[in-house]
Amino acid sequence: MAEAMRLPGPARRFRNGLLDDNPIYRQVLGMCPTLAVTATLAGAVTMAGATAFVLIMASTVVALLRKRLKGHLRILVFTLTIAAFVTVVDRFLQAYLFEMSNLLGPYVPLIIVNCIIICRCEVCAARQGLGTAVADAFGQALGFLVGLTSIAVVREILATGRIFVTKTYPGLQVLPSSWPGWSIMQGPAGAFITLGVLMGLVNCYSMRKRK
Amino acid sequence: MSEESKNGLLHYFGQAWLVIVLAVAFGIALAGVESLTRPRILQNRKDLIARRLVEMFGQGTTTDAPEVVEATIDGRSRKVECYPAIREGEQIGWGILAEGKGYDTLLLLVGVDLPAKKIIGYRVVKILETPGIGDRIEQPEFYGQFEDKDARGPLEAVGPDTPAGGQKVNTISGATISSKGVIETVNKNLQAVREQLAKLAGEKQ
Repeated sequence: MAEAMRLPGPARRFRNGLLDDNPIYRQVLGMCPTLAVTATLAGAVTMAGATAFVLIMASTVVALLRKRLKGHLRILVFTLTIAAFVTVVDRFLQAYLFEMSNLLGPYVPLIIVNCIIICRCEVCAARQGLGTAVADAFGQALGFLVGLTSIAVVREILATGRIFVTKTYPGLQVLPSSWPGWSIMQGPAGAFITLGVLMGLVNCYSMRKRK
Repeated sequence: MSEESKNGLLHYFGQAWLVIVLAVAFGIALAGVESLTRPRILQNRKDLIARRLVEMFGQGTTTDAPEVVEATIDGRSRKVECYPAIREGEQIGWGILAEGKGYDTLLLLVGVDLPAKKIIGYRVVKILETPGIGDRIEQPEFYGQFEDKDARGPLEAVGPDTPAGGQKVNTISGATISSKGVIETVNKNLQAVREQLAKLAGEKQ
C-alpha cells in the first residue's frame, strides 16, 4: 500500500512516456526495431502501431491479474501474454497489410522480445491498477511512436528527398527533385547516425529544461 | 498414488494454475484468430505469386494450384512449389518458388518455359536484405540479366565490370552477397527440380 502511494499516478505515467521516460531516447529500449524499421516512415508507423497494440493489451491483462501473480512465475506470465498478442498482430498484418508485413519481415514476431513491453509490465502493470497501467501503456506507446517517426522522417527525407514512400505510392516530395539522395541513410549506418544525433538533441533539450 | 506425490501435484497446480489457464485461454483465442485470418493470408500469397507471374510471362497470365516437387537442395529434402503459368487455357511455363540465402533468407519466383529449358526471369517474393543495398536485386538492371538464359546449365557470377554473356551474370557492386545469393538460389533450385518439371511438361503435352 505504501509502495502504491509512492508510485506515479495515471497522468504522470502518461506524460513520462512521452519525454522524461521516452522508451527510445531516455530508456534506450527497443533498439532492434528502432534501427531496423525506420528506413521508411510507413514501416515505422506500422511497427509503432503493432507495438502499441501489444503493449496496451499486455498491460491490461497483467494489471487485471496482478493480485494473482506469483513472484517467481511473473516473467513467464508476461512472456506468455505478450507472445499471444504478438501472434494476433502478426496474423492480422499478414492478412490485411500484406505488403507492410513483408516489409517488416521478422521484426513483428520480434516484438515478443521488445524490452519496452516486458519493462512496463514489470514496472507498472504488475504493481498498479488498471487505469494507471493503461495510461502508462498509452504514454509509452505514444513515446515509442514519436521516437520511431522522428528517426524515420530524417532518414527517409535525406535518403530519398521524399516522405511516406511505399511500394505503391511514390511519396510526397520534400526536398528539391535535384536532391542526390544519401543512400547511407537507408542502411544501418544512417540509422545509428540519426539515432545518435537526435538522442543528443533530446538530451540537450532536457538539460536546458532542468536548468 | 502416494500421499506425498498427491501433495506434490497439488502444490504444482497451486503454483502454476494461472499459467496453465492462460496458456489454454490464449491457445483457444489464437486458434480463432488463425481460422479467421488464414484464408485471407493464403489468398494474399496466391495473389502475389499471380502478380509476379504476370510480370514475367506478360499480361493475361494466370496460375493454378502448384505442383509440389520433392527435391534435395543442400543435402536437405525439400518440397518445392512450382506454379503453372497459364495463358488462354494453355500452360506456357512454370514459376518455381525458390528458397535460398543472400544476406538473409531469400524467397524468389523463378520463371522457366514449359520444358524447363529457358529461364524467363525471376522476381522477389520475400526479401529481408538491407534496404538500399541488398534490395537492389529487385531492380530490373539486375533481374533483367536472367532473361533467356539456358536453364539446363548453371549461371556463373562475375564481377560488376566483367563483360557478361552466355551464362554469366554481373553481380551488383556493394551488394555482392545478395546478388550472388540470387544466382546460387536460381542454380540450386533449377538443378533440383528441372528434370522433374520437364517430365511433367512431357506428360501434359
